[in-house]
Amino acid sequence: MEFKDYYKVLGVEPGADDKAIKTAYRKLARKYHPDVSKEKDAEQQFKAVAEAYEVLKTAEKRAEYDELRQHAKQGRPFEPPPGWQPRGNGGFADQFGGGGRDYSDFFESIFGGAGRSRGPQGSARSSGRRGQDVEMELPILLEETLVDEAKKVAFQVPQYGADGQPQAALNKTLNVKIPAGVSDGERIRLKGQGAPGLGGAANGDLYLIIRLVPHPLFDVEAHNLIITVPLTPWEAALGAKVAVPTLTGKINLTIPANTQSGQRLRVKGKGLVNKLGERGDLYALFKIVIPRQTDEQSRQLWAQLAESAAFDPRAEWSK
Amino acid sequence: MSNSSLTLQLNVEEFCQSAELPVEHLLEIVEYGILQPSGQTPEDWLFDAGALAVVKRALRLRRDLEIEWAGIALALELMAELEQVRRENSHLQQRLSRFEQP
Repeated sequence: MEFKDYYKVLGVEPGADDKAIKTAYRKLARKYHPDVSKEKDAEQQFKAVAEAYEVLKTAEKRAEYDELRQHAKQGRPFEPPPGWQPRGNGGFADQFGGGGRDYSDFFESIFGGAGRSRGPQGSARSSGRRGQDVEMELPILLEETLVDEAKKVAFQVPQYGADGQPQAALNKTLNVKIPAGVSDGERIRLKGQGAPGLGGAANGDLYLIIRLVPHPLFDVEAHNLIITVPLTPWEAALGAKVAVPTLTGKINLTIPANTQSGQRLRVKGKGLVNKLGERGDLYALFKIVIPRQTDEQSRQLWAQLAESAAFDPRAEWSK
Repeated sequence: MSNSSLTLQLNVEEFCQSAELPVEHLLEIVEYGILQPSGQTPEDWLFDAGALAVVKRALRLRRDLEIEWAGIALALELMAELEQVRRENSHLQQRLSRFEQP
């Protein structure tokens, strides 16, 4: 086991006073808190910072830690001295639940059971303890949101022994019916499918967070869809009938003459489904595309057009 | 599995149990506008799965960053707005990429 230099973790001198430690913690906590941070490994970083602060903020634990720190040898694995007994009385129970923390093996070896809040759900108020809730993101294709969709979901739930120590995670699979009309970020609760409760207490719940997978063709705007439809200049000028994909097969779309790039055409009822089973619309968004190469005959035709057409798309500029 | 089990609606007691939160604190949290349950009085309040996620986040912020409820309310509001803006931005980026030449 590696000796953890909690002073280094917080970026303070070993002689730092409580105020400096608190300031350093607050700064790092804001930077790495998994709820606010976009930093890489925020969760791991925050855990390390929180653990360091947990030890250094209380005089008693800090004194114990300092004592051990004297004996720790640089670059050598750390072992608590023989007969080491944690003296701290813990006090890790959170007044406000919300999930306790798990600490490193190093922390456990020093402060052991006395310092641990027994499992992931805060204080052991009674012998039974409700299992931990588990969250996972569930990728869903746009096509799958149109109807109730049976999905096989594989996930892991943490397990704790009767002594509150973590055990190997449990692999579970479930068949879940995802209701039609789910939207991105929506949470679905599966009651009792989280971590098992201890001492006869209830299991935790499983929360599936819906993530709509970006579609190669369709963009989502609330319950409407947008498809970008490339048109040739002559289709845009003359009008055309174009086969356009929807989530459920192709439709024939009539493009009016003189269609502009960026113009939209609404196709009613071909969007996504909402909770009431009503369907949004599909918007065809036109984009005029020029051939990459032009043969001589085409070039002449364009030249002819250029001469005869009295059109200045930049008329606005010369005002 | 029926649909009803997927659409979470918790009353005050169930919600506090799931969030491991004393009822007094829930009253405070609602007072600060951190949660907006449906129903007029606490007896009628109902919370959904989103509210549970919000309150857990609020509790973590309070514990780890030592912020008071008023500050948490502000932080959550700004974070929600930021999330919304980020999502919108990525949607717009995707749409823009369909128009721009690589």
